[in-house]
Amino acid sequence: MNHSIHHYSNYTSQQLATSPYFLEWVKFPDAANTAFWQSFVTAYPDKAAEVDAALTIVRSLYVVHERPTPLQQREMWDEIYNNIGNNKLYARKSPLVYMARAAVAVGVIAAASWLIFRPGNKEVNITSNFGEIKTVYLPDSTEVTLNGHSVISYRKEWANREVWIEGEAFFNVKKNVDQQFDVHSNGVDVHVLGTSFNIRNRRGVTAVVLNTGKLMVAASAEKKLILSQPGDMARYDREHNNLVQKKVPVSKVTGWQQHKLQLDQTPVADFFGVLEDDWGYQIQATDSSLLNKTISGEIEMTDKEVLMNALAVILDAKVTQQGSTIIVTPN
Amino acid sequence: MSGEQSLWDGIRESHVNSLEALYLQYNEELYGYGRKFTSDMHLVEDAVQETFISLWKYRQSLQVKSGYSFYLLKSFRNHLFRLLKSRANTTYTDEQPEFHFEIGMDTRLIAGEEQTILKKKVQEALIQLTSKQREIIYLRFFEGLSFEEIADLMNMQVRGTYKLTARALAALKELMGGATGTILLLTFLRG
Repeated sequence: MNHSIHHYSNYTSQQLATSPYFLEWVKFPDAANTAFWQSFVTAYPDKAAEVDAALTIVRSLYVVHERPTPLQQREMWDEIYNNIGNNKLYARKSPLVYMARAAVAVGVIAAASWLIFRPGNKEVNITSNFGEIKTVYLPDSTEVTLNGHSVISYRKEWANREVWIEGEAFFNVKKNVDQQFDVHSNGVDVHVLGTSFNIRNRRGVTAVVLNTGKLMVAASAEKKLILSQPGDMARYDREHNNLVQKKVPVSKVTGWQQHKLQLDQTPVADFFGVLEDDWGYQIQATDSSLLNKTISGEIEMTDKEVLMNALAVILDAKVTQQGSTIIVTPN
Repeated sequence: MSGEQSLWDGIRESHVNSLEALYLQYNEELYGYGRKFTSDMHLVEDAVQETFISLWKYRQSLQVKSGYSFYLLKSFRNHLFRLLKSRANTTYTDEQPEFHFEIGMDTRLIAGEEQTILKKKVQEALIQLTSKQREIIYLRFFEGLSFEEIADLMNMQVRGTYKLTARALAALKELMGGATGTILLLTFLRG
């Protein structure tokens, strides 16, 4: 295989963008192909603009997906559920049978075999992976956007508008004056009628920030806060059972939905915490004094490479990668 | 360790809610992949359902060698092809499933007319490729599968997938136009 940078000397950006080795580099960078394209730019400095343009083309391309509607998704699941629930052979092996027996003992009818599965199936859990931002529609058509590594749960029968959150989510609650909407998160309850707000619980602290409307945050019967202005924040520290009100720019806490991280005098240690909690990146600083610095700005969280470059610039450091760990060495 | 691992453990231990959580996580992706082979929504829905039903049926004897999401993708593709084949048999057509996908471009990165022209060019070029070539390009560059996984998924030799990608991109080069000079065999083509 002829592996020379000189073959690309006449390439335009469009031609580069459809070359396999170039695509491999953009999509799956490693030491070898990075070195190859770096030496190409060094040898042909006038081609740097073409390489940049080709990078933009490749990164801007995506595939349009056909998605099942929320209704379709629910119908498909019901079909799956009915097919596995009728399988008595497996039902007998299930530990859920014990729960069903208990149900019978207290006088609840469990006649049909599919009912056996009901107790274990009461809760719906929807999870996002590290770095994945996911939009979920609840049965009342409330829209919830989950940040990376977060979970939303609710009871399948949906008798009350009530959900549980781990991690971070933005809620756009469907207006319904007759039925309250409740969010439970790490010792805090949020009561709303129809509003949009952000909630984040990580490391024992829950923060609720109002976007529109009005809501109440309660840590207990006595500890309550009403949020009524955009940017009002209720912050609850579970360990110290401490609920306080603050004011923050709304954009600062909702930017994650646009794959952006907003930093405003943020301690580096907190910033690394977010990268670990939401994105699953393990970050190691070789000099711990770095962690006490504060930084401001906005970071595009489109891919790891962009992030690593941003880290290098913002922290004035050398940023390398070892396995899944990002290592930051201050210059 | 991972949340995904605990879901699969839960399924092995017959927890239906683990299956539901896995379904919620993957149904859109599988459905989207299936719709690239056929416009028949109901057939794709059936394939998604069968994938999870059979996963449940064989949960005690599951052997997942190379990643859970890949396992689901492969199982789904097999179910889909079986359904497509049985439909073809009943309707007396022998058409092979054709893989098509539509390209979009992020308007924040490339704007206006350049974007429209480029998108049209890529789309037209993709139509000229074979179904297999399109599927490999999609799996490799948009889904990030390794060539080994693609070969496994499509029942091909790994070398075959490399060759098909190379040929596909060679064809793309011709269709994108503008390049002069000799085509270098295998990987290094003028785009």
